[in-house]
Amino acid sequence: MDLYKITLLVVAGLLTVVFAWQLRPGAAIRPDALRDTARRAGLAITPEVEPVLIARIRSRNRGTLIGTLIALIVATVSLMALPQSADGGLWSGLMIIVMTGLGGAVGLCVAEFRSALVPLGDRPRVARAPTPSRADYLSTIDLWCGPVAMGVTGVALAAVALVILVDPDDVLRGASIPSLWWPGFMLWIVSLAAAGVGRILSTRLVGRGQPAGSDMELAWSDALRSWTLRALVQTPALGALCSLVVVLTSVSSTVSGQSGIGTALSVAFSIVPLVMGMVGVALLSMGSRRPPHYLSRLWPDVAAELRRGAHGVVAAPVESGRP
Amino acid sequence: MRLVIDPQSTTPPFEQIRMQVIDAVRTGTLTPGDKLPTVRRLAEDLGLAPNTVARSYRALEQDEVIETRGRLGSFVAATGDATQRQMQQAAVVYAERATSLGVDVDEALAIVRAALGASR
Repeated sequence: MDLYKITLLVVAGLLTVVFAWQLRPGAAIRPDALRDTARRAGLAITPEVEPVLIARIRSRNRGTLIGTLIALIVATVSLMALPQSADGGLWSGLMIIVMTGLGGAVGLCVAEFRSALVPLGDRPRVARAPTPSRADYLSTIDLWCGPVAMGVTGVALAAVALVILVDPDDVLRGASIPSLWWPGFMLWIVSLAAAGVGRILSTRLVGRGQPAGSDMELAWSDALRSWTLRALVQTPALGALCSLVVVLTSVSSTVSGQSGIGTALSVAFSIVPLVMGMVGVALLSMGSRRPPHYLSRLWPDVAAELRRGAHGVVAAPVESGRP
Repeated sequence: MRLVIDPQSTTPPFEQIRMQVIDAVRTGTLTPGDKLPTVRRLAEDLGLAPNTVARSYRALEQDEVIETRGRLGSFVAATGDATQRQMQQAAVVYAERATSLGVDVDEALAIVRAALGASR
């Protein structure tokens, strides 16, 4: 067994221990974590909703961790079976990140499915018409980040494949051409599969009932559902971008130090991941300044209250949101 | 619109749904063409049996408040105010019956007022 595989096993083992520790029964939810959740959702935690919310957060954490653990094991076994890529450990690390991200999102979705239909006893029940759609839970950026990232990186991967095949100035002479490209392409295929799985699960989740005894419970159910859907759509986008980073890093490290087109390629390939990272940070910071998308769509009164108040103030739905 | 079902009410759940949808259409909260939740979805939301919701939808269809467009689902009917139309049809039947029985207008109106008063 070589050093790469030993490192892989040690890292996977350590991660398994960390996740398994968090899975232990009785792991409490910290009050500050609950406050952060309320701030993220833009909703108040009332005494009525708190026990239900804690139970659902616990179930979601458990689902995420179980999904992540299963994906980690699958990723480790797959990486052990595959040959090492030209970029060293980068591809393996990103593959583990993408696969555990997908596993976590699927686990979260399963937890959401299971906790969606809690019995309400003899309490009054609230429903709404029309039924919300994916667009009510996911912003335009969330809806399109996956398909756009898949499309752009797919074209970019094809372009890089062309550059590798044409090999201007013979800068890649002596390099193992397939090993420069296939790890990134495999990551892209995993992301494509994640996009397909995410699409099926998100459609089924949106069609699932949301039993609630009050507007507050319904609003919290919307908040949790929107986070689950975002996890499902963002993982493929992240994976697609990682696939491009892997290919560009492999090619860049191969052509660095070469003159002519080699220097140009090396510089260009180093800049692309940086630009992608900056665009990602800009989009995230833009989204964090507004009230959550689901509030604006499904609870406009609450969103308006949030906009009027100081940033981070949480609010509670009153009698009605959307008519 | 919000649909609120109280399981402890003496009004059966299917009637609670029916009345709230009619009320929402009358007040304009639901407008013609608005899609209603599927039977299964509404049953899950309200913790009811699908048959209860289906019965309510059937009654609303008979009242021409909603219409079902095959697999597309149920929509608020686009044929004007169904409640008013139904009331007009009932009024015509009542007026014809009153005329055939030789009841004059004042007496017929008094009977309607008394009936309305008794039912509220």
